[in-house]
Amino acid sequence: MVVAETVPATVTAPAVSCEDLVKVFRSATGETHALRGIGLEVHPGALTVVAGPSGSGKSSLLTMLGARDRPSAGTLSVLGSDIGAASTRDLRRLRRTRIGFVPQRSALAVFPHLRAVDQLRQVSSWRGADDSHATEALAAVGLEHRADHVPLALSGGEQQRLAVALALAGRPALVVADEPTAELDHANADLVVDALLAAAADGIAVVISSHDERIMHRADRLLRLRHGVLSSETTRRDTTGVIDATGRLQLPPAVLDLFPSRRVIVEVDADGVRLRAPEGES
Amino acid sequence: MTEPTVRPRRAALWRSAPLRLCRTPGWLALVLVAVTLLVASFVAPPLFAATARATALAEGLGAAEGAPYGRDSGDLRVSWDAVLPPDAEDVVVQRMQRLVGYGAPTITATGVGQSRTRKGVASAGGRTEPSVLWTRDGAIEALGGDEDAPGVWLAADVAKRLGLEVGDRVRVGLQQTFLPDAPQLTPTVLAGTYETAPGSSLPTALSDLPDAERWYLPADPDDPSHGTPLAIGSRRTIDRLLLRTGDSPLYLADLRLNADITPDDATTTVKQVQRMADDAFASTPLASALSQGLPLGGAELQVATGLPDIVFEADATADSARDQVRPYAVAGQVLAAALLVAGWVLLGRSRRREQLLASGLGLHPGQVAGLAALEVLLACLLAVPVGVGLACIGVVTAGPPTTAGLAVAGDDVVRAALAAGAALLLVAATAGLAAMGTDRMDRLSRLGRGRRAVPWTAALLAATVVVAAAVLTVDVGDRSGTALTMAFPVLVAASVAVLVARAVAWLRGRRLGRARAGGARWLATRRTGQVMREVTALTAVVGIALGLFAYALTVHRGIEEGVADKTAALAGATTSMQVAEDFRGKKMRGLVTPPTDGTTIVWRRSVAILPDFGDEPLMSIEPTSFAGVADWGGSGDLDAGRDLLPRLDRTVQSGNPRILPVLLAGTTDLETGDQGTLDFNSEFQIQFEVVGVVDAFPGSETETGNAAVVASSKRLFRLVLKTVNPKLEGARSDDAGAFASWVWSDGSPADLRRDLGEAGVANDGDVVTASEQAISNGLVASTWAAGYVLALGVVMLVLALAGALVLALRLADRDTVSDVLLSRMGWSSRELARSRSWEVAYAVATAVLAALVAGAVLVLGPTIIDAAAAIPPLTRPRPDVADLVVLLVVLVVTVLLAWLLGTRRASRRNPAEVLRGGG
Repeated sequence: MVVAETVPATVTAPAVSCEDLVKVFRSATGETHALRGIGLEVHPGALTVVAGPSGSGKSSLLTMLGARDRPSAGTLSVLGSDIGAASTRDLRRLRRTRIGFVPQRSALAVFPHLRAVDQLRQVSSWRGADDSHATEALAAVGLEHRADHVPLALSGGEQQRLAVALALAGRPALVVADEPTAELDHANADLVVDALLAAAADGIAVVISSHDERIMHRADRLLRLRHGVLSSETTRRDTTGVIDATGRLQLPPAVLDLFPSRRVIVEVDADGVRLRAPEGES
Repeated sequence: MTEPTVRPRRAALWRSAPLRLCRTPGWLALVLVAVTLLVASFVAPPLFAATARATALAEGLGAAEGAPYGRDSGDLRVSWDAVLPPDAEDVVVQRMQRLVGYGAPTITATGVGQSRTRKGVASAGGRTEPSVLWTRDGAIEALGGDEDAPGVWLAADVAKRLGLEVGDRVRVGLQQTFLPDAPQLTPTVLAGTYETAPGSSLPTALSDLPDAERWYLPADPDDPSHGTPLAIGSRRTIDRLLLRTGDSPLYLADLRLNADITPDDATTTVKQVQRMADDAFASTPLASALSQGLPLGGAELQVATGLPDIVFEADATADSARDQVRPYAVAGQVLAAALLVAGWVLLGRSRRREQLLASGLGLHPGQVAGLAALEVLLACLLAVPVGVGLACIGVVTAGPPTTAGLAVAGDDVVRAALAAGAALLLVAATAGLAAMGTDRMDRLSRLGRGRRAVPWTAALLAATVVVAAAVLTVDVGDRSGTALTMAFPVLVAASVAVLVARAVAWLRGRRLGRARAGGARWLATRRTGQVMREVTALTAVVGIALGLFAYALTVHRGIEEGVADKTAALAGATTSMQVAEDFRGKKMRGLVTPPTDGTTIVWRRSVAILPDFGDEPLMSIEPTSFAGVADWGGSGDLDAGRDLLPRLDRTVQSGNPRILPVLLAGTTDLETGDQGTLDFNSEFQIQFEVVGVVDAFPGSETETGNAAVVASSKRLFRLVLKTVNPKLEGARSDDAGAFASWVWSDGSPADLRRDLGEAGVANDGDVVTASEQAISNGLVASTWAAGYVLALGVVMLVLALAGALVLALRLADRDTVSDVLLSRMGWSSRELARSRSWEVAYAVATAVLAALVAGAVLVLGPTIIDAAAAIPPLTRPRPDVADLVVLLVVLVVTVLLAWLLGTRRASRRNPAEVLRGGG
């Protein structure tokens, strides 16, 4: 079991907390273990980035955090609801009122027949917010000049920004975005990240996945997934290695480079544990 | 933050829904077509039934047109036997005027006191001439007289013999011819004279008036075939004279049925007439009025009309038609509903991302259903008038052949609105269930809960076997009215289509290398191989639709020809007329020689085929003229009987001229070559030898029996006993055991009457027509049902074309990216389009093959379409080369359309957008 925990400036109840989170997909050819026991807490007010290679389980994790799927095993609590045990109706209510979600290829995750401002207004109203939230969300992603356009009249990047705006509209308690900047240029990607950071600063728990190093550097917290387990966690203060259930220690890449032979000498003393490269290697 | 310049709309998702489909004309057209078909499928059956009822009534009334007042006529004759005071007669007349289906009554008044010993006479100057008091509304005006003037009009020759001039006094009344009592003659004046029409007692001025041949005219008691000369007066004059002369008055009110009467009005009229007849004997104002009749202090009212029988028969025919159509109607409704659901599911698949978005945003399935309902609302509203129109067009073109216009009642509009509402709910339910499924999709991935593949093919085959077994267990005469009528062919078509599609896909998967590498066909085989399952499924759908279309063609033809066959077996010829005496008492030549061209003489009576008891119909014919005149049906099944006719005149194999060669038609254990004995009411017996056995023969079902015996008159009448032999002098039709003689004709009744009259043969015998037989035995209803089947087949053809085009679109959509890549590798757009056309051609050819196999299985399998199985021959689907041609045309047209569609779509794509994923 791997537990990663941030230490926020002020102690608040986590928006997301999970323990031994497992996700298994079944198919005709067998089972795929997307997540193999994730422990995690996400607190409001921070932008958390989940990184990792393709197939590492990022989308599976974010889909469950967005209350769009249930875990195969383990516990997952999102905004106080047990995702594994909640009824479909409860999950639906949670998604409708408190979670903003940006799926992968989010350019298609908009209502194609509604003007940008109208769909934001519609979503805002579901979340109990007034019209100003709709226009604020549009402005936050730089689309206020395209408010009167339907998605077909927008470029792919604009459609993706609109999807992010939809997630932010109405000020949900949790925003989950799966690679929200994948199809954006740097300027627009920065715009989106700015919006997400602003939302986090506003007290919203924001979790996104990304391969973009520039975004990772701006995150309050960076979680790396590898083969369905958390391999490392980096906050703005330090880097934490993760020991898995079998006792294996996963090192961040930068540290791993110190051990090119993949051999390490472990020294235990009263102050802690020291890892040292074998003689003649470093 | 920038101030927004655009005001957001509230509830935009809901407000945009009603017009959303208009943004996608293709989907709008699909939904509109599906909803329209659904509406039409619900409106058409009652419209069909109403039309069938109206047509059956019209045909019944048409057959009764011109028949004498009474049980054969739809018109009404009300009679009473007393002179009624004006007020009382007004009550009677007003009652008749309230009959909704009849026009105003025209009243005839006459004296019917004549008998063999009492004659109606006019007397003057010591001379008497036969004349009976008579009048009819408008008669005096037609003669040029004054209705208010007193006196009577006599025939000019009568007046001349009496030596009378206009204005002279004349006495009219009854005179005893045998008893010497004084005549009861009453004086009046001669108001005028009239010329009598040739062969009639009516004045020339009246004989040409419409319906004059059906007026009541007093007959001469000594010679009922001639009328008594008339003494015509005004109503007031005749009323007065009838009372004074002591004649027996008879009043007849003739009411013509309205030409455009509706079935409902006819039914109402029947009830009103029955009520009027009943009221004449109850404590009612009508009975009170009749009680004032003179001279006996009361009148008896009687009604005579054949309308109740005509209406009853029309209703029975309509009910039969409705029952026969019901399975096809239900099939149409299920089909339309399935199309609508399938269309919405396809639409949902094209909006998959949006569905996920809606689910992700927590939209309740009920809300999704509501949005879907709003989306189809416009289509449903449009579908109400369009569906009603389509139903009307379908019924007019494929329904009963009616000359009356279709009347769409308020109930039909309400039914259309309800059907449209049902379509809206169906779409909403489909969308809601899909949303619910999307919401619950997450559960499928939970550990320990896997997807279970449903063995659809095995289930389909099992269902087909079960239904086929059920078909075999149901009596052949009951199959057409059960759900099997549609379930069986659908299941067979589906099973065959799936099996053929899979087999062809498997074969093609094993033999890919025959096309030239790098060519369009080569590419087509490679591409199909990668999406085999999708192509196979769509091929199966097209195959099922084409199979059912082909089956509908064979069913339509089978029913049409089957009805013709059964009508031939029932009626024998277009027209048959019984001629009682004219052919008797002549030599053999007179017995068999047709009286006119296009006719033949058929002698009938019953015999027993020993050792079996029970009468079987015997038909004695002249084979040569019979072959030319008889109705041999439509399918050729009866032709076997025609081929056997020459054997009837030959001596049997044994060479014994005393053995009668006969042909048996129907159910019998005897076979060709068997010999037996015909028993004629135990009076005499004739040995026979069977020269042929057939299922049905013209006229074999006219009379009841297991097997009709057909013999040649030339052979038979050499063998029958003298007492019943019509060729002997003095033979009469009313002799015990006598043969009945009929003239069969291939012309109309009117033509036959005219021809027989010109040939000097009596033409007033009973007439039987093929159309009457078809109506009274419910066969006409079958032909109407066949029209419904054809309409359903056309819908199936449209579905097949739509399915093939969807296949083409799916293939085109599948190839968007690969087309761009291949074009950059040097493939021309024309080659790519040709490649895709090859794929469609392969798929549709497979569907055509499946349709042919399914059609063959259904045609060769047990028949389920005979609604009148008691009448041979059995009706079964009839294939024709034309069906194959139609299927091949469908194949070619579909491939051409697919090629055009694919080329057009490909040319409109932007390669950059395609590669970006948005194209």
